[in-house]
Amino acid sequence: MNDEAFLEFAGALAERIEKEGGASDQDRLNYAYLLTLGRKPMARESDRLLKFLAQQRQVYTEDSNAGHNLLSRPGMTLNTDATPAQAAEFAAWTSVGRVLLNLDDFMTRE
Amino acid sequence: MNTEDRLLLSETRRHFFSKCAIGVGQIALASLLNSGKSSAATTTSPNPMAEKPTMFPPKAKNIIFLHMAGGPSQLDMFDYKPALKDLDGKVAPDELIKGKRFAFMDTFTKNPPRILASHREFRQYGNSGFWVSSLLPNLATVVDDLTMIHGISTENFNHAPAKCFMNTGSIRFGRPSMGAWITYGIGSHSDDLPGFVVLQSGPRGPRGGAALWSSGFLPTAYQGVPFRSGGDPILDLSTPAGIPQGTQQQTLEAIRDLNQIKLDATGDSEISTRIAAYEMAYRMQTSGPELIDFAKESKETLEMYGAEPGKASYANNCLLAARLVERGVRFVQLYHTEWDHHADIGQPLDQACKEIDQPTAALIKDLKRRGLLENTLIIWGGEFGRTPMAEGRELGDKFGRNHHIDAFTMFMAGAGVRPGVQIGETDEFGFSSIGERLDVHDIHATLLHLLGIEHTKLTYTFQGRAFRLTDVSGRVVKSLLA
Repeated sequence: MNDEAFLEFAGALAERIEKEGGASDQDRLNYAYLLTLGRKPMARESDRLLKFLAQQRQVYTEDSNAGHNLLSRPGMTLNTDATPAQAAEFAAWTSVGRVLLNLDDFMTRE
Repeated sequence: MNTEDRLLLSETRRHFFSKCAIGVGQIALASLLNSGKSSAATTTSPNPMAEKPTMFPPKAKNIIFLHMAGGPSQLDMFDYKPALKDLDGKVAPDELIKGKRFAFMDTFTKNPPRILASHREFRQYGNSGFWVSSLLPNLATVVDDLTMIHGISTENFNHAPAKCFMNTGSIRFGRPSMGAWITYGIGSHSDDLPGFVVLQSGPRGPRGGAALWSSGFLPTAYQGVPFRSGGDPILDLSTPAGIPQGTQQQTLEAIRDLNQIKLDATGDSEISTRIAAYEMAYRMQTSGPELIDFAKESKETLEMYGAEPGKASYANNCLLAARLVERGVRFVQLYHTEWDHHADIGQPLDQACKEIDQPTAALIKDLKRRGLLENTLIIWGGEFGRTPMAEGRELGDKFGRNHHIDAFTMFMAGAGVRPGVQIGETDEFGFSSIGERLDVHDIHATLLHLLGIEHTKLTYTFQGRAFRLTDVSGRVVKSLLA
């Protein structure tokens, strides 16, 4: 959960989500689920995570330093041209990535 | 849970029903498992470590089990056998070794084993008059707090099976360990720390490894949690730099809610273990640093244990154990290597004793003055003892002792046991028990009894029959009880 490596993986996941996941939040979330769990999210799961995404967008928009701090960690790809809004968006999707990588579903394959 | 429910649950593990396209199976299963609860309702999983009532009033609330891995040499430490001096170097009498098997000795061919007397100086101490060798000057000062047990027997003479036996009541791996049974039965009274903690010290881990603190067939929530004794007790406890605290909490909540959705759909208890583990880990982000903050302990306390903050050692682990029970942890198990002195019972034994003598005595004294000894049961010992016969491994004049399962020594202190009293006795060779006979199952039955648990009633059905820590034996040793 707090493993430094997992944070980097979440950042890499966020990068792919933003680049390849489509335009809308739902499209991107669906893509994230496809990458990590090989399936589409159930309605309840989508609802919960979109709510989480909105929370994180708010956190990282309000605290502009937080987004920058996250992205300038070693191992994270910081685009030095990123606007504060872009940084906040990337941080929010990294947080979503971190949730997905810590799910029992991701860690346990049966 | 009856067999039908179990079979259905095992099908769930293959997600047969949940992957069924029609979805009917999932609804049927959900109704079977939740008996009436609507599938839309989310239930929060109960804390598996929550304190549960004992079967009768307990004497002990916590246990600290000091496991000396490798088999400490009782004949050089506690079980004084002057009669061996006359036989020193002579061939072991036939009646002793006839028909017996040992781990490494040739008893029937090549060189017959010779007796090895202890070359340590023994004296009697305290009102109890216990014999203690010069190897343990500090423990000698607390003998009147100890309940000394001689002549305990066990079943297997190799380390891993014997350790397995000491921990799980069986020489075959796969069963739950003591700490798992106990926390499964009565939980723990610490919300912020695991109920079953394992601390290790010495050059290597105990043979048998994590299986020794496993939960076996019990839910995995009850397995022992190994802590490190230097630095953070658990790696990666702290929130990584760059993550705001609010985000950390929200992240955990999202993970929990999503895992809960899966739990509701499948009823897989491994998921509830994971949910509980993450919640515990979050609580430990605060409780962990506080636990290992030795700066709060006085200089005098640190010196009494011989503990150095941040340095991994048995002494540190003893102090940590005291702090753990102070914070309500139910079962703390310490493993200290290395006691397996086959080749040389001289300097290596000096070393091992030096490492544990002062801290173990300090633990007893410290718990006493913290007012915790009356509620804490301390148990000290290895998985077996060592033989009165020598084992020579061609190191010139150095000799060691082999594994001995017929009679070994443990001691207890604290809640519910009679201080200054000796139970059991060995013959003049220190080979067999001639007094009250105890085996490992009896130790288990007794410690469960002290916790307020009837050992025959703490059971779990698996593979068609009821299992318990004491398997099909064990008696509560009344003579041990205060």
